[in-house]
Amino acid sequence: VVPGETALAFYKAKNPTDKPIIGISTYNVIPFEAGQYFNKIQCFCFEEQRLNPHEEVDMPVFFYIDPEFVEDPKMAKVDLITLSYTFFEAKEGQKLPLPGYQ
Amino acid sequence: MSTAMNFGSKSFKPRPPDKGAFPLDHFGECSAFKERFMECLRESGYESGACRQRAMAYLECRMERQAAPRGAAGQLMANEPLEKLGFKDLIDEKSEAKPEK
Repeated sequence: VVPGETALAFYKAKNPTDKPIIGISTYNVIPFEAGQYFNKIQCFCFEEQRLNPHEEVDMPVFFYIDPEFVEDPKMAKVDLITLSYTFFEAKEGQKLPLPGYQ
Repeated sequence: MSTAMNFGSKSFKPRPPDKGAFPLDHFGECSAFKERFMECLRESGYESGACRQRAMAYLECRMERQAAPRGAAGQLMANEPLEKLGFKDLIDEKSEAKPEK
């Protein structure tokens, strides 16, 4: 992926249960400092998504790495950025928790 | 996955996506486009830049489709000029080439 160039990535989610699940996902970027350069144009996260029993769906993420990434000396050794998603089952009125650093 | 090492540094605040969320493609209406894109990635050694044409085709598919009834959500992706999604150079190429159809 070239910083500044838009890119598409896919994840896949499956609901292995017999009941529909309403989930909501949040993401994490590693290394931590690269997160500020990670810009999502559109993704499946932050909103509740319903997965029917045994349903499997593709989950796209459309993003780009901020071109300023190449100017940042702290990022000079970073050649691998890992984006991960965690799905939570949404409960009524649940607020999305910020991962980790409360 | 707690990393206790980051005390003192600023916390990572997840940011919502610029253009909102993609509704799920429950019926796999654009799966064929996704498969072509993934095929290209595999063949190119996962070189994202080599597969932008197919990525653009996938997004165009989303924009054209009506999603299954999901409240107010209409399409699988709101119509957005492709130039604004980083595909300007590919659009310019397309309009310069002779139309095939």
